[in-house]
Amino acid sequence: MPGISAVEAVAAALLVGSLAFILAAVVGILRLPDFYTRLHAVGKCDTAGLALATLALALLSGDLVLALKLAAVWAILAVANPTGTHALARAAGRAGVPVWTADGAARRKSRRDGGPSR
Amino acid sequence: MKARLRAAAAALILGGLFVGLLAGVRDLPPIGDPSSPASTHVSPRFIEEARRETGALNMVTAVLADYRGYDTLGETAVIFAAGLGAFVILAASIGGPRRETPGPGLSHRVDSLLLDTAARVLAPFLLLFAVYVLVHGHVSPGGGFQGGVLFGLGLVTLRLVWGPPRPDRAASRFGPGVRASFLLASAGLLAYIAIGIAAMAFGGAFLDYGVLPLGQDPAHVRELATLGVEAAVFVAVSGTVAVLFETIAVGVAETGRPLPNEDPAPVEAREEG
Amino acid sequence: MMLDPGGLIATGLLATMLVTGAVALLVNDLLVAAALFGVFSFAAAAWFAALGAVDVAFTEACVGGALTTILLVAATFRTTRRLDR
Repeated sequence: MPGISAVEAVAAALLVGSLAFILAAVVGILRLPDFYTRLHAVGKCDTAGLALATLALALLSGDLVLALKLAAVWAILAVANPTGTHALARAAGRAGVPVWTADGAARRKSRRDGGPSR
Repeated sequence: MKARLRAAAAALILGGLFVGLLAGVRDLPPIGDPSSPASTHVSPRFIEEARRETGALNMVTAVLADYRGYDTLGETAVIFAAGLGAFVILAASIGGPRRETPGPGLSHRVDSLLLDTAARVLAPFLLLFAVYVLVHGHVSPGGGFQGGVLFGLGLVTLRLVWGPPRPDRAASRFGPGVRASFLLASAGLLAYIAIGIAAMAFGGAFLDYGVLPLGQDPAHVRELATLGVEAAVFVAVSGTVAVLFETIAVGVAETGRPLPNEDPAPVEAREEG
Repeated sequence: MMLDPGGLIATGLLATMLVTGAVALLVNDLLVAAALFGVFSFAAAAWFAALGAVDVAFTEACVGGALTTILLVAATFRTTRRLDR
């Protein structure tokens, strides 16, 4: 391609991959049934997406010090993001947030459809 | 009815204030107007002279801690007063008859290996980064205030994960953290004032750092004194952050039940003894 | 309105601030309001950074995004979560 170096092409590919992961997280939040499964989607996909984005930015920076700083950002994200997810899930478990089950969903559906009440 | 009247009065007062401020804004020069007094006298002076006079590459630091050091002293005092106010109000509410002894609250020990390890890994870097923000404030964005908040947040992180293992009913009106945090906050504020008075002792005005006997080059002297002031702000702000967290978060009863595979003993023990 | 990317980003951030601020005022769940205030602060910080005021952005991210959100959540736990009107 004219005007685009190999590094830029790789960075663009990484950014697209990052956006794909973040899109998966958004879809997960919207489509999954309960708190834990949504957290499951966000925790992994956000970490992966942000890691790819920082990698792409480090490639684009063209400066070793800046790249190292972005690597530090990535390292902190890689520790902090899963930890936050864990803390959230743990707090939700302690607070008694209900877990989605197929049985429970079927029961609620039959109740909603005017089935036998409890 | 009374509440409605009060809400109407508040709306009236705030609406009047809004209109008044809007009218005042109309008299201000447009944002970025090159012919406004700020753009013709004040800004060029700082932009041209800050580097030579104060030795600070970051003009924001030069203005905040040197040219406008008096304002920053006032800000630090306001922040300290905020911490003091939170402490005074919440101490009264906790000591009152309506509430029993506070539980360990948000500052209880979290028995989670993951959180423990992550805090062990991250906290040193967070605290170190806060000090970096402080000492690098001459060159890059940052300074005493941001560094102080970051340091205080590092302390809060440690407190969240490694709070006291068991609430100490006798001593836990607020816990030992509040006293230490208040010492920090007061020391920072007093150090700031002391630097100002030291300048007076050497024949300058209050907070006129250039006269301090720290070397031959006046710009370097002002740079060192600015760093001292920033360090004082750092200590005061990190202490105040810790005070605010200790007073607001401690005493929050932990709600919820233990997870199925968790040992419920600590919760039981707390409720009985 | 100019259609340069910087202006678009700044306008989007301002819109985010407006929406999160308004919703935070309207919701009955104070924990949600605290979380929305965190989003508001980060949008404000990004807006300041987009305007070139990096020091202000840094302060807003530290104080508004992190510290104030923590204190608001703590205060919510200490008082009440539901705002009954």
